[in-house]
Amino acid sequence: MSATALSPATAHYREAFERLRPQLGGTASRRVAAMERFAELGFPGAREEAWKYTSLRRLESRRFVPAAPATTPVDVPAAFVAQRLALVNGSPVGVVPASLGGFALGTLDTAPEDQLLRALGGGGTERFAALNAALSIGPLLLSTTAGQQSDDVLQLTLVTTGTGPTLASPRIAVRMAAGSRARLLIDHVDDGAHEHFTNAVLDIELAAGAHLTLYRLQRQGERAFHIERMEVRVGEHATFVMRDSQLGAALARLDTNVSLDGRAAATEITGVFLADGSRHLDSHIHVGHRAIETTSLQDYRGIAANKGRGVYNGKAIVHEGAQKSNARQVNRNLLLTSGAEIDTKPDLEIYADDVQCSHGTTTGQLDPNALFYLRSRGLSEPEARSALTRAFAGAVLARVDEPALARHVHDELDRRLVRLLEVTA
Amino acid sequence: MASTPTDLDALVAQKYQHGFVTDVESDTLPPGLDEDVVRVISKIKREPQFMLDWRLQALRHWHTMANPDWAHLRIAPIDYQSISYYSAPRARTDGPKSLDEVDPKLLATYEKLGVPLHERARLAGVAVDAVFDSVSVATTFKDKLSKAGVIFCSFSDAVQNHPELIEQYLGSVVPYTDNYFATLNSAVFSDGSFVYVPKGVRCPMELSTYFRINAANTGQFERTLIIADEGSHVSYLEGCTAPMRDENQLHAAVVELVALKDANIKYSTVQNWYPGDENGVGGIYNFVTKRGECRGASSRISWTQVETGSAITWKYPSCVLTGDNSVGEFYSVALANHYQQADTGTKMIHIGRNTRSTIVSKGISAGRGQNTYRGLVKILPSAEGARNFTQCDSLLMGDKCGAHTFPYMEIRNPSAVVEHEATTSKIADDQLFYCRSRGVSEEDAVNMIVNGFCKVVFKELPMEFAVEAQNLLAVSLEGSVG
Repeated sequence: MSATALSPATAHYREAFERLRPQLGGTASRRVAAMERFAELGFPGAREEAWKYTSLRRLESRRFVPAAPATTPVDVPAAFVAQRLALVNGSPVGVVPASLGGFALGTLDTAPEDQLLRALGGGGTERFAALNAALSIGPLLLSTTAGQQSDDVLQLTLVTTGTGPTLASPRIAVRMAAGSRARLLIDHVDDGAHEHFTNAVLDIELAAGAHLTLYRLQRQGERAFHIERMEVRVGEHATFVMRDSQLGAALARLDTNVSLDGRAAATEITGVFLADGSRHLDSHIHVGHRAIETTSLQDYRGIAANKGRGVYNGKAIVHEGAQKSNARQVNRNLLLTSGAEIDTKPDLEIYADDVQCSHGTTTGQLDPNALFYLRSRGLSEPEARSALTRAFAGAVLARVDEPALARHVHDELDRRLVRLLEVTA
Repeated sequence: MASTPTDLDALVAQKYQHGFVTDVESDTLPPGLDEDVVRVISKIKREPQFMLDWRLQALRHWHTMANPDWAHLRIAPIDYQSISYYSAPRARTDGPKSLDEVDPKLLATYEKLGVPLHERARLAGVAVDAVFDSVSVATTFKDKLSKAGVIFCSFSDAVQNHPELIEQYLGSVVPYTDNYFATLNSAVFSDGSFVYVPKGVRCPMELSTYFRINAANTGQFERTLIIADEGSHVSYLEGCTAPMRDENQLHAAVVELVALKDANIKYSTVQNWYPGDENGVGGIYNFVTKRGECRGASSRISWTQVETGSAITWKYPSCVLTGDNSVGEFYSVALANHYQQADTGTKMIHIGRNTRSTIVSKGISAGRGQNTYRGLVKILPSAEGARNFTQCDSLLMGDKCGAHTFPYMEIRNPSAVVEHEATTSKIADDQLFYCRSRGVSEEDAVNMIVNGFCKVVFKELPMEFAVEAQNLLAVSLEGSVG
């Protein structure tokens, strides 16, 4: 592909990649191939179905500088749990411990590279996964040993920071050995000083009988761009659980692709998002049932207000032969004020007959009867609205069984809702 | 519920019942599409200049467009230059003055289809504007309708006799730029039906048209325009069957409905084009653009469809709810058996205040059929108090078929309430077992369960259609469950 065919933004990242190359570890040809793939795909056009409700024009108009390896520690918010590792622009600062919070840790120096920088094909975020593979500076491998059971939670705080608009490319691979159990908390933050772009990739595999609970908190700055791709392969009788909270960034897109590969593999993906201000939050969840007796649940609750926009695109595909599968999708949304928008698209693709699949979605306002009841009990209008909105999100938040994290999300929702409802009441 | 060879044999043996070709001499243009073809069509139909200009605009626009590929369909490439764009039964004099003058072979064709034109029309009290290939050959009950002031005629007649209505309303709901197939239709449409119901008139009978594709290699491009003036009420029935043929035939129709203040339009369809044989050979390609606009306040448009035919169905009857308090409805049963593919659904665009819409879609997949529901519910910021309820259920019969749901919901008004629910299931063994234990044969039990599954849609159909639809479903599914 000649350089003239590239859009200015794509060309910018390719040039930046050339400059940064000497500092990047791993096999050069793998990085170059990833960059070429990104250059080939470029930024999504306006008519691309996967980006129907999310325009990247603003992102494409910016010229972020890809981060170089971090050398100095930065301030990070307090941890929710005891075991924590901070990654600055994707790379750990200083010496990485050999194990932490129930996981063995590896980096590009110690881990097999094909696990850390492998290409993730398909879908609307393939281009960004490729860009990440080219530019990621400190990919991290978390692994467990067979049968290892851990009740600890490992928190990874991913900080994006820089002296100007910075592109961070954090990349984490998780390999759960057969029969192991672990919990992981990923917290996305930034310094808020500039308009940053975080382009993250999580590449997760669960062997037979493994169990992983992933808590995710996206609380980036008001000006941040965040694109994340999560690729999860679930083996026989293994279970992947995700508890997602999306509260920050100006524009965030999360693609969660879960492939239920083994018999009786299961996944449960729940989340809340708050699209207030002019925030644009887009969640794509794609669950592929590829074996018999697989089960999936998706349950997202969204709140949009002001000029905020929430996008939910869930998809369950039951492939031919995946009999006795069970796929459920629920998406409920609240539109609190005019000017806000919710776009929701719960897709089902079924190629097997002995299955139970359903989806339900609702979008509306707070129930006037419930509101009236609370008012009659002496609550002010903002209090009543806030209580009902919290209860709406609470139904999903109740599944976040890590208390400090749950409290933080509740408090943050409270703080923002009170402000929001006072203004609009 | 094990699949036995006997069931499969029955499935394979299931033939299209309406498959035959009538040998009628046709005036057919040579295959190909260019501006000259459009000029010839317009000339044959003795159209005024504005029609020709409109057609040419559409053709020029069509050349700038690409064949859409977003539907969940596998379509062999269509060579638009190998299709003949006009075919008319040969005129004996200057067209038939009465049924007696109609080509007897044509009438015999309707007999074979079970549509005894005059008999059925008289007994059922239905006016039939029968479209054979591309030209209307007979219209009945004109007198009764004209007494009520209702205009019900072929599109060609409307262009001759009511050009002002055509000029005002043609393309006002589906503009010639709308989509690939609608644009193609705008350029080359040969005929169709036109209905105008004047202010305050309740149309005295159900209006009905039977479409039928006959001559080889002629795509059929129908155009229907229905205008319900203020406070009027009309129910329109459309049903199709087509003869058996090995080559894929293209059908790209456009239906436009306009409902003014307080008007009510009910549009029902039973579609049974040739679906191809049990190996997926042949069958009609059915690309239809149907859209109604509730232009006036408190108007109502209701679409009901039973889609059992066609190799490929690409069809999204839609409602643009512009008027305050207007109502849009969509009830659908779609069946995909053998190698049939259906990508169908609706769009409800809420613009006016307190607009309401209901969507009920029932998809049945059997054999290797692929059935897709695709729908859009769009609530614009102006649609204060808008309300939508959508339910789409899929029934799967066999492990080689597919049922898919792609619902789009775009909500931009906080006072709107939008609900969507969907389920996918098969006929439960315990349901079947219960019926069998009561002495009901397996085939009857399946029919009963399927009819129960579809009941909520069938009850929206006019009575005589509801019976036909049930039979059609039973025939289409014969032997596909075991």
